[in-house]
Amino acid sequence: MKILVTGAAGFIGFHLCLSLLSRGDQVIGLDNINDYYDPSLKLARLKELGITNIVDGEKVASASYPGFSFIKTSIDQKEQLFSLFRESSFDAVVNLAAQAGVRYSLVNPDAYILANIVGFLNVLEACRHFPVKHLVYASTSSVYGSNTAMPFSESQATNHPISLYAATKKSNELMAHSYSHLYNIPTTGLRFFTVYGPWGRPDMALFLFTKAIIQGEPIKVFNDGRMQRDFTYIEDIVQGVVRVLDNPAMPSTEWRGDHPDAATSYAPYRVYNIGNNQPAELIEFIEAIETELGKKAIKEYLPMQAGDVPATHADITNLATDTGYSPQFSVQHGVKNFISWYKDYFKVG
Amino acid sequence: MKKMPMYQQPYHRNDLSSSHFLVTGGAGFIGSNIVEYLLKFSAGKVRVLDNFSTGSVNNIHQFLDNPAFELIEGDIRDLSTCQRAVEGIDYVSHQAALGSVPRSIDDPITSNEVNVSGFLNMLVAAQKSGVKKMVYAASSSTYGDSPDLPKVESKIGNPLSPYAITKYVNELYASVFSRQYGFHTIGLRYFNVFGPRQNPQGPYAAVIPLFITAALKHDTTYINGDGETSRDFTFVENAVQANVKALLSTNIEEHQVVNIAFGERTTLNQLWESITGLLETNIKPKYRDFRAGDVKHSLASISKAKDLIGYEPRVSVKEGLKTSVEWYKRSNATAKVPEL
Repeated sequence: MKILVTGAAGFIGFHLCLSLLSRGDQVIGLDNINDYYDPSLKLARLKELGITNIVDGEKVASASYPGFSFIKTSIDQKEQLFSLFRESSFDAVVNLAAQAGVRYSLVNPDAYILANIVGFLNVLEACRHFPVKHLVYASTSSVYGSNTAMPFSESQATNHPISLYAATKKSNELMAHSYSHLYNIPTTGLRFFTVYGPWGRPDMALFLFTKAIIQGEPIKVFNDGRMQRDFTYIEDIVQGVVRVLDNPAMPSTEWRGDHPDAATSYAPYRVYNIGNNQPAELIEFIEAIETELGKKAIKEYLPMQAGDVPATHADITNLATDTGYSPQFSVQHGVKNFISWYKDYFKVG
Repeated sequence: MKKMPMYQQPYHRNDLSSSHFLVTGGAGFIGSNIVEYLLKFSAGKVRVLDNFSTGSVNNIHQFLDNPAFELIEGDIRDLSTCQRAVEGIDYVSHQAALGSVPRSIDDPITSNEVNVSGFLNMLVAAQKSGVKKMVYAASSSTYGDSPDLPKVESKIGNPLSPYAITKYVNELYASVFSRQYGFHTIGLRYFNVFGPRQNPQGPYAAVIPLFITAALKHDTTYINGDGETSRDFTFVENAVQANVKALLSTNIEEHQVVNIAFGERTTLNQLWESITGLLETNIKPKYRDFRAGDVKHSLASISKAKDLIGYEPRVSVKEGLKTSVEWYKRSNATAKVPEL
């Protein structure tokens, strides 16, 4: 298959590209390499993919993967995106390009509208005018917002986001449904639950905590570390994305407008939770880091943060039933792999 | 990622623990560096006056917990705010201004209000409250169309922008206050100051932060002209040294202006090469037309600053670039609060 992966220099995009390439797909990666976090980590990921000769706005070939090429551009650049679709005839698109981060959406809301709304619309429009067999796109567990009925199931209504980040991702699901309805584009949204692992984002807790503990600096622990997250290891996530990619969304014959199910549609539209189904308290996660590093964290306890939810827990029945998805990694195993990558990458310990 | 140390040694001999400083524009680039130095060397009080129009809380959040630090959020265009800010203050470093030549061309009125009226307010407030010394940011743009190199303080040309006018007017007011009221201030004509906390964002960003952040992201970078334009780039630590030495000087009996620079020329091509060298890439810039109003070369004579205040720039352009590159890499590397 010929697949476009947007956000290819990002955490999940990078791992997905490696996985697709290893099974022989032809992959075009796209990323704007913005500086929301240190671009040198993104460049290092691209280097792993054989991309070193980056030129703004031009497609360049990988030196190590014959099936891979990369273009540095933004999904908010409609004309460049359209010409890429025009010349490439993609079989499928995985849209992982986005402005991520719950906290940052309180600081710089405009960035979220540009990347997640304008950019995503451009992707939908490109799929409309240059049809693809399947559009898979990143949503988030944050769409569950103020919901407290656990585990979170796709059939729940998700109308109460508590951050603009969540609101833009919920908007993506709504926009995708309208395009699935109007233009018959199979779309699948994946609600990621706290993804972690090697090559992860430096703004995420695991990365920040590891760095601080190694350097003997205090870590900020909110709500006594009693927040629960369904931490999901990157390899499990990639397994799920690939399984979904190979199973384009189908119309559901059981869907009824008088009792509308939020998880499905008469249109070729699906949303899935993609999690571990094993929530852990943040404090357990910190303990796993301490164990791996053989060093205690200096903890600074702080109250709950605006935009944060107390717990997340994914019901993954739908994804498991439809695609055979089955997460394999425990927090201890995943954290261990992360730390060994971190030490290697930063040449510590 | 290495953290490059700054302000390792003091540039002063005095004990600062009973001195009270006001830094206007203290949440801005140069101002926050002055604040960092003063707090590091245990100044008794460091008060910042800033309206956060171009300054940022990100530049000062690390000082907020320091008991010697005080923040007044306010505007120098308001005289009563200036009067409140100088209360109990011994030394004033006036850095608040709307920087950037292109900004002043787009909006000369606001540049004039802030840089001229705001400056006059500060001058009046400081003189009346009896501060010991006031130092203010002047500008190398005051040399305007003068072709002479190196620039010496006594010989200036015609201003080429509203910004240059506003900064020259500061000097004129300061000179008159010295004669009329015996209030002797020192103007520092900065030459292309760069370093940590200089804003790389927006249409009025300066060349070094633009080059570094573009090279970091592999963005297309444009050089106006053939790249042989040269400037006397000055690392911010040198400008901080000048402020500290000027504030604590005791030999000033009339208004003085001094050039603050490194005293060497660097072309834009050399600059780009140094930056991409530090980042270990070989991306090439694109060249386009010269920008109207830009002077081709700039270089300062720093003899007067050496003689008058003992200014001795210690950090070279190369070393300063290295520190800056590490800072820009680090500044967006880690958000303060972990995402879950």
